[in-house]
Amino acid sequence: MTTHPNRALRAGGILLGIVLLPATLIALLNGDQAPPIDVMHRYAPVSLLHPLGTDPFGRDIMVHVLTGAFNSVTIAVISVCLATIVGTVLGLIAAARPARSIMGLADLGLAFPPVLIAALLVTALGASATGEILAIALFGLPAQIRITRQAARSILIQDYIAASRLAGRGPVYIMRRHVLPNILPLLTVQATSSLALAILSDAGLSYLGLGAPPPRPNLGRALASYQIHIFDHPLLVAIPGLTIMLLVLGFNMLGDGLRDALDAAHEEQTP
Amino acid sequence: MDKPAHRRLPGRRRFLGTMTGMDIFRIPVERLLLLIVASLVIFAAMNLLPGDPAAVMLGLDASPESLTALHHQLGLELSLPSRYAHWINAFLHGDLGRSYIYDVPVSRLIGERLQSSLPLILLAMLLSLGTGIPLGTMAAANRGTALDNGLMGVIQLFKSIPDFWLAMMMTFLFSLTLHWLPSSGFPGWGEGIAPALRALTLPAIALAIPQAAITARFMRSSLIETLSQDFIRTARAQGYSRGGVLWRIALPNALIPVLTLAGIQLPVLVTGTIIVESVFSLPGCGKLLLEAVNQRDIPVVQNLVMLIVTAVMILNVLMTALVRWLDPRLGTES
Amino acid sequence: MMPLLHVHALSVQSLARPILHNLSFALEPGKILAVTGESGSGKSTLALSLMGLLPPDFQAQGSIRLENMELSTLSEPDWCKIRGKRLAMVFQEPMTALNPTRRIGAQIGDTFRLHTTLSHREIGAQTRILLEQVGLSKAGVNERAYPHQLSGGQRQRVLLAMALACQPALLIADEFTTALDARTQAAIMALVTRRCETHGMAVLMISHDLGLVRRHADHVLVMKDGTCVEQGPTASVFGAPRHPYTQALLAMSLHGTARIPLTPLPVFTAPS
Repeated sequence: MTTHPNRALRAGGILLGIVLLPATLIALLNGDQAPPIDVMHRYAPVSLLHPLGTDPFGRDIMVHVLTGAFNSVTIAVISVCLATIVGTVLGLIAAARPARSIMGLADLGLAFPPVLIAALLVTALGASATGEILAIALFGLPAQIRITRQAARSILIQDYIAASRLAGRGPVYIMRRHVLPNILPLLTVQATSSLALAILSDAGLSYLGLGAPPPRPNLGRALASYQIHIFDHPLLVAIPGLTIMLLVLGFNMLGDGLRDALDAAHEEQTP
Repeated sequence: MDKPAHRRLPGRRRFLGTMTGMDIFRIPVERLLLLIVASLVIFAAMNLLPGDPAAVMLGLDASPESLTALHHQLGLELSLPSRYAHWINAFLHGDLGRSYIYDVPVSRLIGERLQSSLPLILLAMLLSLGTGIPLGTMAAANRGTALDNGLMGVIQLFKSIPDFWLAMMMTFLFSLTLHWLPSSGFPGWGEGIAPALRALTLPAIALAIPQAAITARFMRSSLIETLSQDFIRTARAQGYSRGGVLWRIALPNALIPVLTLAGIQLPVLVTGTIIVESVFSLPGCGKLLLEAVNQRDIPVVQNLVMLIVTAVMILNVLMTALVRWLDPRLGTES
Repeated sequence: MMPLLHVHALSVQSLARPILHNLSFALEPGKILAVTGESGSGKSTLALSLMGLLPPDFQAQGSIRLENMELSTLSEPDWCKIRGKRLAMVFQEPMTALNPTRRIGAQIGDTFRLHTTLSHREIGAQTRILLEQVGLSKAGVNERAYPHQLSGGQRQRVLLAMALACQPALLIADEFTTALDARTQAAIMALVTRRCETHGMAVLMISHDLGLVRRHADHVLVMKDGTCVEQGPTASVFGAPRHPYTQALLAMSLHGTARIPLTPLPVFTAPS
């Protein structure tokens, strides 16, 4: 679409790198727990020791937020993987046979936003990372089923599939050998864009206290705990929010860039 | 897939579908089935808890008497199927049970809370469509120009902002620093329309901005897609000017998928409303749900979730009907 | 007779690539000129440049005169006044050339709304007359039908009604009947030729179907790679083709090799 199909790709990569590289580094060095509370050093100013200062509990803000980002992205990645795998399998089944029931269940997602699923799960079982992952994955499932089904059908109408059938190949073989490799690029694009949505969902659920519970910090809960300090220390609220935005923007642009690259590859194949 | 070729002529099926109008009945019936499935899911989540729901609600140090009383109130001594039947029967008759925490009918609680939730969600929807559609049209009409690129950049940015964080930053700017609008709370409609609307302005804007970005982006691609269709060339050959074709021919057609999107985005808007109500301490349904979840007020959670799901489904059916009415081909797109 | 359309030294480039090169021809009222040639020879570009609807990255030079009006220097608002009124165009794609969301009566009525001051009621009456003239009324199609309810041939009749509404002096038909079966094709061509006789309308017919060209055209213009290789009265071009390319085209059409449908038979049915 644009003259530089990879510009969005590069920009998305850079945005994600800005957050994810230091976040991973800190998680490797410090683990995924919150930095220690240090009441002697509350609201410490920006310094070499604390590049963004410390929060009302004397925790290093940068470490806290980056660890939170690491945990949030982990939750998002697991949810999207889950939704992609289950959604792809169900989508392929729905493509192979007229499966009203699968598409009907996919429609269920139209009415069940993650916050309602999480509300039910938290009421029933209490807050847990598993429940949050389930809620985000269930919300992402319908789109995944729909897209897989549509893409698989466009492959299934090709002549070589008919040839393969005439050669006596079963549906599982055709799906695995012909359909899946062909729709894999599309699924990658979809998964990347879903990550952006999953990060937003995680932030919202955690903010409401419906996400993964303490002690592991995450971005939504960081925002919730800093919110009351917005008047005196607006940066406390700005930093976790900006981190969420960078991550979402990064995954969105990466997804768009991949989509453009995919379209360009398609156009080259069929002039 | 294994049916003979002649049974599967797409044009013919579509044509017959239009004529018999079967779809007009099929969609609501499917949605009704979905609603039943949804109610089963909700019921299962609330009633198949490991352990005793009454014990969960009352906590560990509950006396046996209060447990028995709550058992009776929740109808726990009945079998699961008859509990489900009781619940659905009551729900259909407008009886949403009794809140355990507040000890008032759930329907009254929800009724009070809807006073801020419903206007908020409507306002947000109007704002997002009212800005997203013109912006997307503007970008598509000036496709490839600096204006288009600039708009798309801003849209991409706003699409990525978490609405509740945007809400906090807007409170900081417009309420705490500039003192233009209240930062939290809701005076109710009894005080007059102006204070209530003022209280809902920031939440609605915060909710609407990311939605408007999504709408604008979708509107742009829908309009560009429509403008590349053959019937646009036909209209030009008929004597339509470039602007005339955009406004009179392309825009109405391009709006149809945008309405579909608005229907799909509805649950997302519901999520946003629940979170934003929490940011602004608005006494809405979202706040009620969160309180109920935290207090394990099972009757409130169960009935409120069911009510929201039902409302979303009904709106979805209405939206589908509207789209189908506008597009006589009956959903042949995508 | 004074020519209605006079094209002189028309050339079109797209991004420095020549599409049409130095085309000149004339067309008299009531006559049918067929433009033929293989795909990619520039036939459709010629049609679009006559309508002033070339894509923005195309540049045209040369002169196009219609009824003593120079079209190549016309401003866009002036183009909108004559498009659909003095010159009209019908397109090939019967499935997509009509707006799917509007009733056919409204789409035909648009031509009147754009170019006349007729009242709503008069437009309705005129539309019904047109539907009658193109033979849709007797097929039971009224102005309240939607395009998807019609067959391919019926849609082409609707397109024709839209084009003929303001009685244009020139009709440009780009592969108009290609997608139709032989009987429908003949019926629609009969409508067009009758209009030529009764109203003196000239037709520029773009077609690669040499049988159709031979049956209906008064003059033929054979194109190859954007240039005209041969033009003249149909009888003489078909009877004694001078250019080797024309001879090859004719030979191919006589042996029928170019007419075999290459679409594969459906082995595996597509989900809708």
